[in-house]
Amino acid sequence: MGIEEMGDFEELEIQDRLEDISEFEHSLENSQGLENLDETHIRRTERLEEGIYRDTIGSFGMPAEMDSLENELISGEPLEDMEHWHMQEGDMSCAVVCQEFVAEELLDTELNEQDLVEFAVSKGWFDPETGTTLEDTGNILEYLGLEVAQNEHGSIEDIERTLEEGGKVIAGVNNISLLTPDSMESIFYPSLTANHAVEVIGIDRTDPSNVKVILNDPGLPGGRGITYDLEEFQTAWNTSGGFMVSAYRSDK
Amino acid sequence: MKEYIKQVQEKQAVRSMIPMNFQMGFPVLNQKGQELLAIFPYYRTKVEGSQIHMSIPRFQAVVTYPSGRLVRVEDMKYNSRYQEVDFSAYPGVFSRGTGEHAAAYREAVERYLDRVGALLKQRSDQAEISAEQIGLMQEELFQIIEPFYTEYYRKLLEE
Repeated sequence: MGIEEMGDFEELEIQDRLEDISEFEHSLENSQGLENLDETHIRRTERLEEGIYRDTIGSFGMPAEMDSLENELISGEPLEDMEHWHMQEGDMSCAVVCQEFVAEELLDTELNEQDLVEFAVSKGWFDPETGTTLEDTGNILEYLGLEVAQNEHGSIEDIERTLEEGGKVIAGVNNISLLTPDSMESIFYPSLTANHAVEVIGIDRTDPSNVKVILNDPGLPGGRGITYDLEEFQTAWNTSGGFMVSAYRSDK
Repeated sequence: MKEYIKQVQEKQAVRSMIPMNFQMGFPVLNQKGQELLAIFPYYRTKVEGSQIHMSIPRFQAVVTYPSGRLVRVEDMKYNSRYQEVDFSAYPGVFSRGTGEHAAAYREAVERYLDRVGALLKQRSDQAEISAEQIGLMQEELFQIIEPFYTEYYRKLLEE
């Protein structure tokens, strides 16, 4: 079902000259113009011409583009995993929220960021002022009974294997490296090490010459199922040395 | 320089004490008698629109050369020399490397990191570092850091 067929939609024409559109356009390109507003509404932003965009809001269905996320050349379950995404509430809670995503996906349950934050604080695994250390990333999942392994020097093949085996992956990246590709004038340089955690929910090899990495990024408003070129993701991931946490159900 | 950064990041104390939300800033070198101390600061960022807000570095990892031994990982919030610093604030935005200055900035950063890496290698190979070399490194550092980091880095160089 395409977005045009959704019921209860509003069409908004927003004609607004933006002064600095480069970062917005990059975000738009990566999210394919789609943004989940809440559990039942989705916004599609289309570029009409330079500096002018049109927003269409519809009730949640399956925008045509999302159908392409179901094929055997995509490892993982991005469509299902995208349903668990939400924007992180705390500035420093990315790793906690990624664990929330993973736990919900593997345990088929509903969790709450605030509850997990309080729990992690009580265990000394999270500080609201500073966040989660590499060493402690995955502790919540282990506590919940999942099989967890850290890999300090992971590869894309390691991620794919985990996803194909029914596991889930959290990766350490530099989020500014993801937001500021070389095409942008403003380059934040250098991103020497990682500063953020994301969940990798799919590797799309539908076009072998244009491999895509699909993420649930809790730090971006359009972070649900956001996709990057493999090279862009690898650059951001290299800042952590390829740090990844794999999680599986213990009855795998 | 990448190899030295990798070695620091793999230290167990760094993995267990420095949160992944903090990224490494420009390292500095201090000569302490026969040893060269490399101080690796860690700060956090916040992106708003097209602006990258930067905090004062709250964490430090200090490695001594030629041994490559990690001698300290510290949360500076609890260091009396930094009592007046608000580590929760973002005192400025990234500006040095924006727009028409981006290419020149990138070259200056690479030059600085190459120089730091070369000095670490020189000391690791048991060769002495001259005061002149340290001075040149520091000059280049102040050309690339954001203005709101000046006081912080001056403090680092006094350690």
